[in-house]
Amino acid sequence: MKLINKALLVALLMSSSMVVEAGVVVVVGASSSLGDLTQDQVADIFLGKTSKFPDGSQAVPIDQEDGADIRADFYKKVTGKSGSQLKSYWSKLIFSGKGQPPKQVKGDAEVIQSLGANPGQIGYVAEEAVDGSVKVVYTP
Amino acid sequence: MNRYQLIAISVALGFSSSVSAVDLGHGLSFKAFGTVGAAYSDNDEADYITSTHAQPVGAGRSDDISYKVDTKVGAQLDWQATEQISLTTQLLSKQFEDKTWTPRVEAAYVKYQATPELGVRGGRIRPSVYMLSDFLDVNYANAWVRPPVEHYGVMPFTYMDGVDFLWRPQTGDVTWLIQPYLGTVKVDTAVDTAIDNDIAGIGATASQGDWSLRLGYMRDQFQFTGGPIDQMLMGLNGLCAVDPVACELARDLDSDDATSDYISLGASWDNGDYFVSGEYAKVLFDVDFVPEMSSYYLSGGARFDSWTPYLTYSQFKIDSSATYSGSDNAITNAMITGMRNSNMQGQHTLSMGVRYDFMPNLALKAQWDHVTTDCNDGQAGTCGGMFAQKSDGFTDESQDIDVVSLSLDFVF
Repeated sequence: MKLINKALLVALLMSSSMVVEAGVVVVVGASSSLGDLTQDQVADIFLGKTSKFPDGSQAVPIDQEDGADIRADFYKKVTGKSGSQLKSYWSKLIFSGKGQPPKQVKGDAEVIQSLGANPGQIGYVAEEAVDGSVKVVYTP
Repeated sequence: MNRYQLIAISVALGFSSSVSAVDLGHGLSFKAFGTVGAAYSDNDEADYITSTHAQPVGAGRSDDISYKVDTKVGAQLDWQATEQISLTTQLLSKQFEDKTWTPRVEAAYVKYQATPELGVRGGRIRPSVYMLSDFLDVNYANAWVRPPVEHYGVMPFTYMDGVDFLWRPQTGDVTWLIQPYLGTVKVDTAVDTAIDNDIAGIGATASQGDWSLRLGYMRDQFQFTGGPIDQMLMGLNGLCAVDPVACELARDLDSDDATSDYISLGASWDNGDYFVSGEYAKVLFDVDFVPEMSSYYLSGGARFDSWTPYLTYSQFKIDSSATYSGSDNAITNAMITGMRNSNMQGQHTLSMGVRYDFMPNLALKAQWDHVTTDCNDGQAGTCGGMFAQKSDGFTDESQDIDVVSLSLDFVF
């Protein structure tokens, strides 16, 4: 019984770590001329600290929905912030009028669809969702 | 409890169950923040308060346990009219200087986003004087129950009517926020005076990775008015015939171009697991009836999942002597000394607390503050700190006071 419990526990741990490991990647439309970005560059764009890509063109971040696992994973890896830290961060900007959080869309498919049509946009999706219409510019 | 206090508390509790900003369509969105808080002070000779200008009563003398110290609710309506033009209105209800809770307009401005990097706002704006000034009432944004009182509690105003610019250039890896502002505001204080302020200032923040550094400068051209000031003026003008210094002081007090300069330097570091932040400010005056002052705080904490314990030390210091001796006339000196005495609000606080993020939009906080009031040159009568409703004797010697607070913050 104990052994079975242990085995179950190990299986559970593995499966939960696999969920986290199913990596998130940062993507832009395939037609974009943008090269690879660094973690800080991605963080600055998604935290509204800059509105431009390193090449000077305008950067418009596209976010996933509040509460989505991939969103929590992305922000933890790229900005080091948890959900409530992120909410604290944006509440400083929203109520002082210094900024508004990125527009949110639902799921990887909508991110990819939006990016394909707008070369200035940048988003994040699960690695396996990447198709020919987008290209990866950063892997956390 | 009056109507607005009840509304503030019930609205705060009601909102806290909601999940995120309400999108009303047509570019309209509704957002809110608030705190329901209770503070207990173990000293019943004076009230612990968070603002010497704006908060008339608090915890201690008026009530052992006071919900008036921290409870507040703010609501904001944003309208993105076009891609470049937006309108924002923010209402705030809390205990104001006249003891009412009637909601006030804290912000009402038009913003024009000229380029992605440059925005300009006109209307009623909360100027970015210190690091937290423009979101000072949003307690959810910080780990603490309240921003350090010693640093933020002497600021005479929260908003201005005017313009500001938000410019976000970038140099290499460093992102900047340069925020110049210009405006005017007249405020009533909790001590029966009013202050007319014409302000101009600039805040410059540089961020890189986990770091952020901020420099601030503001010039405030101000004039005090009100009963106590009129009496003072009458006294000084009466002395004018025998004492030329009294004439000068009366002119300073009566003029609208007395100036104060606020110089501040702040820094914060936050890697997600640990954070440290602090800010130092110096306030200089070109008139003799208000003393020079300085303040600072240093705070740090760690995050363990939903728990954020923190430690803060903050101090407000009077850098001039309470005793004025600029005149040969003893009465003039005594009058100005008396006026300076009312500004002898030195105190320091060691705070320990914990924030618990138990739901996505809610934070529960508990904090213990050990407050010590500081005397000026060891003189009796100058030791009242930043307390209100002081009993006779409270200001005669340095006081050690423990304050325990519990609060629930929400934002959506």
